[in-house]
Amino acid sequence: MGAEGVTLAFFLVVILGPTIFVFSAVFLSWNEVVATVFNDPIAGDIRWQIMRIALIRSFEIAGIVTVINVIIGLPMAILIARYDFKGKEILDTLVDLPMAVPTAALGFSIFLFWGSRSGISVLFGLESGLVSRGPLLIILVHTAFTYPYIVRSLKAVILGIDKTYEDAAKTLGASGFTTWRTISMPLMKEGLIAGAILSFTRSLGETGATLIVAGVYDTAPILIVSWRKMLLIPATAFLSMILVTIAVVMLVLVRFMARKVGFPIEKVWPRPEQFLSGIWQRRFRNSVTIAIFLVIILLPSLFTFQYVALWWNGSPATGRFESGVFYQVFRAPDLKWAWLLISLVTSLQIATLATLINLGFGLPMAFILVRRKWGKINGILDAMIDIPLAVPSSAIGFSAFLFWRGIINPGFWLILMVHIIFTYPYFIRPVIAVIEGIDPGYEEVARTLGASDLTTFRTVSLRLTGRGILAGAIMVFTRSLGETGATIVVMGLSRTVPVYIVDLVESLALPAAAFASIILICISLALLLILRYISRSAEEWK
Amino acid sequence: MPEVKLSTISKHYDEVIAVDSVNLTVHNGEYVALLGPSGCGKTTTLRIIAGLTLPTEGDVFIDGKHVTYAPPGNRDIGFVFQHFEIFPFWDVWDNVGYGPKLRGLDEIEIEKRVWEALKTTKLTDKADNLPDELNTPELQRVGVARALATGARLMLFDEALGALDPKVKAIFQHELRKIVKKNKLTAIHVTHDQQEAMAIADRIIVMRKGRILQIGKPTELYYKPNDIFIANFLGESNFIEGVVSKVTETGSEIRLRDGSILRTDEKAIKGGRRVIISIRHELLKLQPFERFSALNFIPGKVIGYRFLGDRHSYEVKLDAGEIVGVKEFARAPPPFKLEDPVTVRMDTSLAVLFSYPSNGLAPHLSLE
Amino acid sequence: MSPKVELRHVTKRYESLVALNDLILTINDGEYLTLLGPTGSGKTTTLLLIAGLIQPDKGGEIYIDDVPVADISTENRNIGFVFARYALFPHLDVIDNLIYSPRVKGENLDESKKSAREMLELMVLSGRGDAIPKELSGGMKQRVALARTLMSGAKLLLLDEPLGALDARIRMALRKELRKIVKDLKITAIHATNDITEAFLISDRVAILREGTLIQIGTPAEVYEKPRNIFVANFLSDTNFFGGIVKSVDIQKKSALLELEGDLRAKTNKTSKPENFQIVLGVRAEDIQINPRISIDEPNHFNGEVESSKFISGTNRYEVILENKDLVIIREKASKEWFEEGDSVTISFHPRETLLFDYPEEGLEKALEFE
Repeated sequence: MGAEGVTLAFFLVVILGPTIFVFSAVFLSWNEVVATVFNDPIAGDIRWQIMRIALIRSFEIAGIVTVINVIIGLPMAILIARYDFKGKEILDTLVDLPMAVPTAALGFSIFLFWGSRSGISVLFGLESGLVSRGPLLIILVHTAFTYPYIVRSLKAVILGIDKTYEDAAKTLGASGFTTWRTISMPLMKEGLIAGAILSFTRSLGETGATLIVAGVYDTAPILIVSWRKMLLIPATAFLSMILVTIAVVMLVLVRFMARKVGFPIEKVWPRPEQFLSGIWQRRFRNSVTIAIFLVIILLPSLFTFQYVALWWNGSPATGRFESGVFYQVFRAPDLKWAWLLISLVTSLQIATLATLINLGFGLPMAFILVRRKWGKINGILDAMIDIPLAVPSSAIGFSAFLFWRGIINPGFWLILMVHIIFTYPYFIRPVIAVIEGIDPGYEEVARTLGASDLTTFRTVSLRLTGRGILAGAIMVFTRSLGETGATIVVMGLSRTVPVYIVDLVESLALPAAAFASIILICISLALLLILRYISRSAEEWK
Repeated sequence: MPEVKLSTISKHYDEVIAVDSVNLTVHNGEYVALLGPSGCGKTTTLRIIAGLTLPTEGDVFIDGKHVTYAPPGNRDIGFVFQHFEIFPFWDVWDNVGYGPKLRGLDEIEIEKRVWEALKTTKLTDKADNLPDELNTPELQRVGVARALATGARLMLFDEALGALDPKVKAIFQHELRKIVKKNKLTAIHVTHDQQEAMAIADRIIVMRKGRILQIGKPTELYYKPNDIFIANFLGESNFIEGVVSKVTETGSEIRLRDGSILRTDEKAIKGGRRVIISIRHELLKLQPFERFSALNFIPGKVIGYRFLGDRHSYEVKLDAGEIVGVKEFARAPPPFKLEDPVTVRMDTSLAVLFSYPSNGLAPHLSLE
Repeated sequence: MSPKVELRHVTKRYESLVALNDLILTINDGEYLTLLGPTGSGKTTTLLLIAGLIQPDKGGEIYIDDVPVADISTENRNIGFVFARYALFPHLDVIDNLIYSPRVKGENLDESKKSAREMLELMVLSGRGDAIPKELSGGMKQRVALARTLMSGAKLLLLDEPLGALDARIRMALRKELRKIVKDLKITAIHATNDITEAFLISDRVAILREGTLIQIGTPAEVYEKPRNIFVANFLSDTNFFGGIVKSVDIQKKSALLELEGDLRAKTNKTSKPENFQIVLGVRAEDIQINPRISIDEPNHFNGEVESSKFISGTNRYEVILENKDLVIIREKASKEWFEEGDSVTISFHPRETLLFDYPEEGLEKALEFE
């Protein structure tokens, strides 16, 4: 019981408390909030107006991005889950790529691709970028990094549907398209909604990449960062609180409404659906899906590599050596390589510590949630785990800043505390899935053979979940490496690599930013490949 | 050799009563089957004996000791699951040795136990194999070996042969019984298959809807079921309707719907009462049709025939209305064709008489 | 009306595993054929190939009613498939499951619902139309699955161990119903199972498969009484096998004398093998008589001791250990007298009731193994 108490205490004090602290902060300083937001002596309620607009923009963008992702992601998920073809493994890995790339680096790469004159505009012979900073670029960036989330969760859902249902439908005379519409989609409903929610909240909360590509178009997370920098604490708190509230309410509403959504099965259109199921139509659809993926998602994500190669020895336009990546990073007097090294060390330290702490306190929590039967409490606890996921990371950062104010000040340790908060659900969810996947029979056998609960855990359960846990740990590490928004809010004088990239972009040191991005991408990529390898061999023990 | 005793054991799940006041004693060295349809409570009962499930009320005694709330590891049992649950990350040797290791035995003793178990289950040449290299029957054996190696004297089998093909299953049934008997173990075996129960058990406990209906030796349950459900569940039986027309000191006469008379030794049911006669398929014999009428010779017509290998199976429609099944053990080809009129000779000495149930026949003929 | 199905040289490989090996099989129109064999023998693969859910390797062809179906996709082959776990659509109620096929083919909604209700009555499921699959018992799900395929109007029915998930006793009851429905509706049916009694009870012909190869095909009586090899004899019944050689043959008297391992003498009426030929004698468990020990020195009479005696549903099953340590299995109809463990007995059998096989290359033990 002692261990469980500590685990629960950890969750409440380190994870949940700081996340929702904004609420109490706002209520405690309500007068100040009113004064700065609604009734500023100089500005009137302009901050309220700015806030409203930023919020609307964030939600609009998140909505558009989610819809786009479902439309282009679903065919890809179907393709990978249900078909066998040469190169499927490679495509599968490539689809996950944007997820491995830290968003700041991703944002920067996509910005280079669409928005700088060295990118796609070269093909059109333009002097400047094809797409300038602003909402369209934000949408492109958000689509790119939420794409893997949607495809992954849809893929898991599709794989989870017994293929026999689809076979049965075919034997009863349904064409491929009709089968999808009447059988597979209804069975996928829950998973589809879950994937959409994930995509929506990721887009809502993303800060790092958005900072790079937004220009003057302020969305809510950006506003949080800039107001924080201006030390408008009450206003920032208020905005964070609203963001958290709306996000959580939406989560609940959508889960509730999901039950009501139905797919029309009463209607049938045998002929047109049969036409759509033809083999050439299918090939066409698949080719378009892959093409869209390559042009909108993959190539822009990896464009930095091309950029760095191009700019290594100097500007491709002017040929000036001092403009090149090599000079900027290693030879310039401001010692960017040293700063890069320091921030890399900081990033790695934080990621490692966050991972270890999550392992220590998150693992028992996962077991509690799956194995302990406390009735309603289990359900509530389970729902609360998701809260840090739904809340935009900059809001978390700010709320934690307020929570720990006076005890831990902005800097390395506060960054760590914040990273622990938002990586917690990323660790617990997959671990829960792995534990739930274990046949309880194994633990029962161990008990009948004489093993105590602890021995069973140590010798059997851990062996069976080990690889899943390792996979969860790697995900945490990668997430921490790539996080930007919350880090900016609490960093004080410390720097992690993603934040450093943002700094470099803001000071227009693009070649250096590109170089830093590449370093980050390579590390994350390596981790991704290790993760896939482990997941693959974990599958063998199902 | 432990004795197992269950005293008014019940298990409730919200509104569902899975096990309803079960009293049961399994004697030293007995091999007992818990038999019944899916959902009758047999597996729950077994798990309560094992300690994997706790009862809502009642007590469990193993070898005189009160173990109702003791963890499974302290009950000295060997449990074999339907899906084996062989640890995928250990080879056969380590799997089988897990139990002895947990008991803290020394290396030499563990090795001895594991070898014995592997020899008994004919797995000595598979000791170094990993589970994913074995086929289903082999995995089955590992499950049994693992339970044996613990040295436990009480074996609990939960539909342990369920995953096997019929032919292999039949062989295993007999092997399993031999192993239990040779090692003088006590065993409780859960199954929904009445043939399996008969093949392995000394006594069979029939359960339905959480309750025990009847306990007895295979012959007792087969020839003297105390309920139409049991008569129907334990192998196929014919049910013929009639009315008691005469009761004497030596037995009774039953008049069927077409006037034919059946004579039986039973005399418990009063004259004039409506009854059901339950008579096994193999107790009927077909003869060419003859126009005389006599006790236990019932006229009918052949409406179906199937060759079943070691026996012929006929479907005969009696003039009295019922369709009865007849099984004849014979190598010679059947002398009767479809539509042939026949006389069915019934050996009523092993027939059972039931009062016609007040709630109708259907609920008792349900197999659930 | 009901189609004929032909498989010509059909092979299916999965990497190194050969699921089906050069299968040549014809199922006649209106026939109820069972594919019988142990798990992994290729039964399900055969059904999936006929349904078009998987494709045969190059060189194999499948014809339905003399039309090659290689380019016809599953939904256009007009077949009904009953899956081992039924595959009832979990999000649709019983009626919606039943009308699925007519609906996706464009038939009228009201008429389909009417047919569905009639079908429910036929299957003794009236009143269950609004239930969802989760609420039904195993036996009910099985009937709904069958009804759903019948609603498609298909005249070719493929059944993949349709009764396998049911309790043993329910299985016994439902298989008779299954045959009756199929025959009444004049459907061609191909049924996969590993249960011999089920195969015999339900089919017109039985095709025995082992490791992807068709071993023997015939009516139940044909395959039971004239098994092609030791595997078939062993698979279909409890057969006792004795290795030995032919001592002498008298073709006119239809009698051959055999010397079996362990100094046993036997006589058979199968005279096809020459003198000194290595053979295996097979005698079925139900063809052996068991009697109290008598002193007799005749072929086909062996002395032994009862090692186990068990009553199983109307039959007695004995295991008798002979003087030469052979174990013999005997089944007889239960009677008022029986033998107990330890009794000394003499077992015997008639020369007519014997099977003779070539001694297998891989040895007798290997030939009798079950994978």
